[in-house]
Amino acid sequence: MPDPTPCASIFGTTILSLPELGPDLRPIPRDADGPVFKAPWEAQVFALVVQLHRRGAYTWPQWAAALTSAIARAQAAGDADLGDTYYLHWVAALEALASERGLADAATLSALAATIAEDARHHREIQLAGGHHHHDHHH
Amino acid sequence: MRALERLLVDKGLVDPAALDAVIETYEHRVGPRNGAQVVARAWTEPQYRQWLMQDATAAIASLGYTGRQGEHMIAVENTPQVHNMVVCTLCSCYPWSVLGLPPMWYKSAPYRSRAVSDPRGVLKEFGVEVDAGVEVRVWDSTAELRYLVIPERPAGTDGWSAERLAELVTRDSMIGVARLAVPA
Repeated sequence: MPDPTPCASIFGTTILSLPELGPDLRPIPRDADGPVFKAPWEAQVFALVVQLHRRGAYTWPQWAAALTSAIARAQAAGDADLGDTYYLHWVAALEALASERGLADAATLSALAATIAEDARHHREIQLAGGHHHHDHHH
Repeated sequence: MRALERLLVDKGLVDPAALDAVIETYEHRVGPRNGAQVVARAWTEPQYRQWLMQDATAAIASLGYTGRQGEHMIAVENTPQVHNMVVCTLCSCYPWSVLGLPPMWYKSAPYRSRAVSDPRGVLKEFGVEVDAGVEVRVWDSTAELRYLVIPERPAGTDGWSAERLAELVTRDSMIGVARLAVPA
């Protein structure tokens, strides 16, 4: 018996990449209403991206395109992409955009990448150890 | 992170105080309570509801909630015939001004993919059973267009004030992955 109603109607953008990817059958991860940012570096990259946009360094569609590319690159490199690595995508996208638009030089960007990787590893070790990361901001 | 931040500060591209203000705003000031005010007002004021459905960007801005990314807002209303849910398939576009920053699951690859390939299955995972006769509409957000779901007003709330109604409205109901009920 045919379904009396369409299963889904898609509006907004056309979905270009879905057919070749196939459906993702994994369960959706669930999180409690925890802190907005899980570590200070997440808040820092978020604020940098928002503030650079406000100062006219790029348009928001340019940012969204950079983020989309960063997510695709991370998935291709084996990231399970369950939401917990989300701000790493922001870091990668900001690096790419900053480099593309001449906001920072290559040496600074590679130093940045190393710093982020270190921060993220440190944060994950704390999570694995079951400890609570003290969350504050010093600038 | 500090390396780039320092460089950008030195170049005069960003101001450290402004960075702190951005963090403060999104950690403490912007969140689903904003969206709940919009929904409660739409439920209680027919003229506001009409404005919201015609020009959500302006109707939402009139309450002081304005997006800073230049996005347009669209309100989509759940009814007994239609259930709306929102996704961003490509990244994580989300109506920050009314819902704050998105939860982790919204940003996860399984939600971004399955909201499109199997919306009814996803809704079931969130505890929402949608009858076969109800149409499910999935809205794919973009950098320029963000969606706010206006959930169905729960039964048993006749005569409630907008303030009291707003307390019932959850984040997930405004993404379209939850229904609302009056707590027993």
